[in-house]
Formats: sequence, structure tokens, C-alpha cells
Amino acid sequence: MQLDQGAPEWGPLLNILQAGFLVESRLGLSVRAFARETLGFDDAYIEGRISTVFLDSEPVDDIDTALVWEGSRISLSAAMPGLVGAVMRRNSAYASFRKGISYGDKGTLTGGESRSGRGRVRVKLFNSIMVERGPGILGRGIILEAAELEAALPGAAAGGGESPGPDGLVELKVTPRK
Amino acid sequence: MDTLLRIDMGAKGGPSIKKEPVGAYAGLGGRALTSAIISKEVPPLCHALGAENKLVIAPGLLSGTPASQSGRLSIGCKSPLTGGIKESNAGGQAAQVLARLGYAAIVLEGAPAGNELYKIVINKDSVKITVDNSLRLLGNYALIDALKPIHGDKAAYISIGQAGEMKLAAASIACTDMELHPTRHAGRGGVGAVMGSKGVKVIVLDDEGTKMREPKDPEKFRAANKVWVEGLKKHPVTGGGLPSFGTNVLTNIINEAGGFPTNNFATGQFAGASKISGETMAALETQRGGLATHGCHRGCVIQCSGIYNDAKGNFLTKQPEYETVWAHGANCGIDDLDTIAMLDRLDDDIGLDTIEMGATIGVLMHAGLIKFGDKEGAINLLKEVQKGSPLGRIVGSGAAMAGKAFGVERVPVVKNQALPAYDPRAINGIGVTYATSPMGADHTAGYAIATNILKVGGFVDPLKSEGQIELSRNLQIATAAIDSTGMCLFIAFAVLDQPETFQALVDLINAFHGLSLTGDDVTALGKSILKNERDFNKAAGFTKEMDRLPKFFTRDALAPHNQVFAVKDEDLDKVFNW
Ligand code: SF4
Repeated sequence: MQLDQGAPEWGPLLNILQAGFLVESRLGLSVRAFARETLGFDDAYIEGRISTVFLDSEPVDDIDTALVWEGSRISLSAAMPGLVGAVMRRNSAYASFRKGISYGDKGTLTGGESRSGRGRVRVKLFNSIMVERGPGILGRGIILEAAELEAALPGAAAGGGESPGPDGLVELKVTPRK
Repeated sequence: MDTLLRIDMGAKGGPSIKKEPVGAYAGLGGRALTSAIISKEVPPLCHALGAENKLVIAPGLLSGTPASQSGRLSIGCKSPLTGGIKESNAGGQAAQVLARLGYAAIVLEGAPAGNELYKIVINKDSVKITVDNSLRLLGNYALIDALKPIHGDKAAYISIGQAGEMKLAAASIACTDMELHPTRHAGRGGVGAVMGSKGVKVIVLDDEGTKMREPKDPEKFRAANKVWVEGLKKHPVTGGGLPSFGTNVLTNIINEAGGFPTNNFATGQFAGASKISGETMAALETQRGGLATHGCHRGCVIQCSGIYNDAKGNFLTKQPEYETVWAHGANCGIDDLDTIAMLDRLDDDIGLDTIEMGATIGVLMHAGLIKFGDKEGAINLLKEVQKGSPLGRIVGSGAAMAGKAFGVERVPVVKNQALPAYDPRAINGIGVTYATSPMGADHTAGYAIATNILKVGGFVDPLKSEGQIELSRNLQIATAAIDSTGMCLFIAFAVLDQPETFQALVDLINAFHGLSLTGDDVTALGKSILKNERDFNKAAGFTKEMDRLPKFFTRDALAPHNQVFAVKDEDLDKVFNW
């Protein structure tokens, strides 16, 4: 479904991104490569801005060794406040506080069966990342469950004459209204 | 700031006033001062609501100066909730005004023989104490509305609601913000009950005719403040994340980490997290004509707060903090921001600690009194406190009391104080601080970033992790030191990442007081505060067995990580070995 969106209405749309959405991606990419290739972020942004990363709820320190598989959930955030915010940062000096839950601590690779080819990955964008990169991501297109779209933009799918596919998913692409 | 104002509420013939030089307490501010006075002057075995306890209200070393973020007020006493020493701090206007009036602290002592309710009015010329029973059982909002026409809208008000008057163990003390709303609370540990036991409903602080405090070295001070403000503004957290989304920006993060206690600590992730997140709240506030970026007192450049309007666009409450959103939201299974904001408003009005109330309602939901997610039920429980019904008095006495009254084992408290918004099974390190802080479970006890303060001029390698025990120790030392400056703890992030910003803080203190403190002095100060507090607790009967988390944290694994709190008891006992 294609939406043309004027600037004042971006708020609720961006909020879809924090709850999570699916994207098509090459599988087996590192978090860094995923952010570059699938999300279209440049290196300076990844290094300078994305200081907190979770892969399937595990805080990630090394974004070059953490890998993204079919069904993975990757969450991206800017630097966060509070001691626990600092604890969650990549390569935090306080990482010992989260011993046991960090990526790699459990000794097993997370993710599903498919380790190559293409598949769907769930993404969440939080705080500044959501605001700064949300419009670009929505422009590239995201995949949502029909119910999620309905909750965020009531009536939008029906109004656009859109019906979900057999898997209950709809594609949403948003372009800024001129 | 070199005068102690002692008010003996139990003096024969009515309250008496004594002004005296700070004397042996010179050079101390905020938590350093409250804990020094309590540990020296209050018998540890006294009853917290008895005449022997004292309530000490102290601005920080830099409060009342033009230094940005310096408006935190420390309130200390023996806690009716924990039975140990307590320092609880609040934002709002009071610290700045009290410091400008020249007081290092107000010390409320004794207890009135009768049942009168007192109002204390302090301005540059006088201290007046009058009986005003017309204020009895007013909520904080109605109280300020009643006093504004008399004392004006320039004054700062420190007050208690119904919970404080009823001397309930979760009662808070409210401080008014810039809009004169009673929204900034010294929430933890039942300090409001101690104010109630002194018969004091409100302290009105009027600084008309006073001046900003003068630094000893104005030029150096100005220069340091410039570097300080620049540092806060340029840092990505204090300059960006906090102002845009408030502290509730943490909801999505802690939830994603699986450390967001849900349904009375049953699980670590809440399905409704994105509905109550800082991102959602900021969008809603803006849409309703409130504010997503706002300070809790004049002179704050970070501005982590905001204004939350109801659906009709009328003021409902200040932007609820992360801990409040967690306590009344995920912990109670409530995913509705308007309900959370209403609960926050009621807490502020009745004068209750939001963390303790969220934990208490969670325990009562666990007991089956109402269901998880029951929005109306949660609101009604707070209204019971307002009414002073027997059930309300149990609720207002905190989670440990509610757990006992309703036979619940899973009660998330340490030293009877409810754990805040981070599950120690997912984030073991914070559990070390919860277990060992002399304050009871307290997230702010180890909030600040100590490592750098301890190693001035030689910042730690961020790639090298310290162990959890050492880290918790250092964090607690540094936090105690920062709590004595009057600085809001959110400065910690900028101080962590930017050595020049840390140096600016030390320079501010030195230039203002004509001192030459070093990092070592700061460390020594933090240690001496903790030592005072631990000595008091020991004499009050605390043992090392009380530096533990409740059993269920080491027994019941938490989803999604299926982890328990795994730090050994003998390691917990090493936290204060320095
Ligand atoms: S950052 Fe927040 S808590 Fe700190 S002084 Fe400013 S508004 Fe108050």
C-alpha cells in the first residue's frame, strides 16, 4: 500500500516503527552490514548514532560478529540515559552489569534455521533513530501485520483498497507529500 | 548558606525557632549534610515517627547559584519504611530558594503534643510558624491553590498530602515546580510521614529581596559554568535523548533487554511497552498542546521533563518519569498512558511515592484483589488511600505491608523498600546496588558514573569492564558525592563521556566555595557519606543478611533470558570493603 504523507501526520506513522516491522533482507549479514545494506544507513551514522543494539533481546557489543538470520529481531537505539541506559550501550564500560544476557553470553547463536539466501527480519527503531531514519525506512517500504497497520492507522488499509496477503501481511510504503 | 534553621515542634508553649551556624557541618550540602546530621543527632533505635527523629531539608552545595542543574533538594530522616537512614531527593524550585535564603538546612525536631497542623513561612526577614487547621487533609494540589492567593506565585512550597498527615510509610514530600504544581517529590522511604509526625503541613519559602548566591571566584565560576553548560548541551544523551523523550525513553530499551518487570515481576517483557513508551508519550503530549521538553526548576538545561495534558487539552500532571510509567504501567499490566498519568496525578496529590505505589498495586493484583490491567481498580486503590480507609492505609504503607496483609510471597522489596524499574535477574549488576544500598532498593543509589570521578585525569578504558561488585561500590560512592552538590543525577552521562565536563563540575564547586577539591576528595566525601549511613543502619539493627534480594530473584528464572540473580552472598558482602 502506498501512502502520501504530509509532514504533520508523521508522528503516528513513526510510532509504528518502535513496535516493530518486517523487512526483506539478505540473511547471515552482520548487524553492521544489515544496517548498511538493508536499512541504508551510512557508516558515520552507524558509528556515531547507533550506540545501543539488541539482537533478539540480547545487548550487542560487537556489531561485526553478531549475525542476523530469518526471524531475528534487531532493535536500534541512540545513547540512553541512566546507569542502565549506559550499561546497555555497545562496548559499555559497565557491560559487566548485564553479564548473562549479552549477545554471545549464552554460547549459542540466536536466530532461526535459514542461514543464507533472503528472508524476513523484524526491526524496531527507537527514539532518535526512529525520528531521524524513520521517514527513509518508510520510503523504502516495510511489511506489517494487517492488524498492526489497522491499530496504527485505523481505516488506512481499507481506505486504500488494500487487503492483506494470505500470510496476513501488508506492505506499506510512505512518500512525503510535496 | 552557613545557617542551620532548627525548629523544635515539640517545644513547650509551641514550636520554637533557633538559628545557628553550621559549625561542624561546614562544607557539607545535600545528602552529605542530611546524613551527617541524622547519623550524629538521631538515636538509631528511635521510632521513626517519634519526637527523637529529625527531618533535615538541605539544598546542595551549588543550589541557589547560577550553575545549571543545581536545584535538587535532599530530605533526610530515619525512614518509617526501612527503619534505616534515608535521603530522598527532589527537583522543583525549593532548593534554589532555600539556598538563596541563606540556609544550609531546615531541621524539624521534636513532635507537637497536640493535634494541631502547622504552616511555616520563611522569608529573608523572618520565620513564622502558625497553626492552620483549615489545611487539614487537603491534597497537595488543593493546598497550593489555597495558599497561592496568600503567599503568591513566586514562593516555593514544600508540602505533604493526606498520606503524610496519616503518617503512612510510603508518603512523599512535594515540592512545587516552575508552574507551582506540586509535582516534584522526595518520594522514597516515607519522608512525608515524618513531616506529618512533626505536625507540619507546609513550608512556604519566599526569597523575595534575596540575591543569587555569590561565588568566591566569580570569573572562574562563570568560565566553569560555560564549559559545563556546553558539555551538557553537546552530549547526545543530555543534549538530545533526554530532552526529546524524557526519562521514559528507557521503556523501549529496558523492555527490549528483557529487564522490564511486568505483572509484579512475573516476566521481563511487556506486550504493551510501545504504547506507553517515551516516544509515544512525547507525541501525545505535543499533540495535546502539552510539552515534551521542560525543566523541573529554573536553570535546568537538560529539561528531561514535560507537561501531560488530558484528552481535552487541560493540564493533568507533569510528564510521568520512566520509573512511574513502569510502576503503574508494566508492573500492573496497564498499557494506557492516560491511566498512568492519572495515577501519577493522584500520587502527587495524595503525596505518595510512585514507585512504591506501583509495586504495591502489583502485589495486590498478584493477590487477586484486582486483576492485572485493571485500570479503574488501580485508580480506586489510590483513592482508598485518599479516603484513609483501612484498605487505603495498607496500600499507603507500601508493598511489604500489602504483601503481609494479603499473604503474597513475591514482594519485590529490599529493606522493605520497593525495587524500581529494572529487574535484577536480567541486569545482575543493578541487583548488587539494590541489595546493598543503605537506602533500601534504590536505583539512584548507584546511578552516577563513578569510575571517572575516581580516576580524574585518567579516564577508564571503555572497553574494559569492571566487575559488578567494584562497579556497584564505585557507583554508590560517586552518587553519594553528587547527591551532596545539589546536581541532578542526569549530569552523570555528560560527565562520563566528556572529561572536560567532569572537570567543569569540580571547577564549579571549587570556584564557588574557594576550594581546591580533587577527585580524591570527592571520593573521600562519597565514602564518608556511605560510612555514616551504614553505621547508622548497623546501630539501628541492620545486619548483612538484610543486604539481600528477596528469595524469588535467585530462585525463579525470568523470561525471556531465563536468568536468575546470580551474584553470591559473599560477594555482596564485599561491596563496602574499601
Ligand atoms: S534534567 Fe530533569 S530531573 Fe534534572 S533538573 Fe532537569 S528536569 Fe529536573
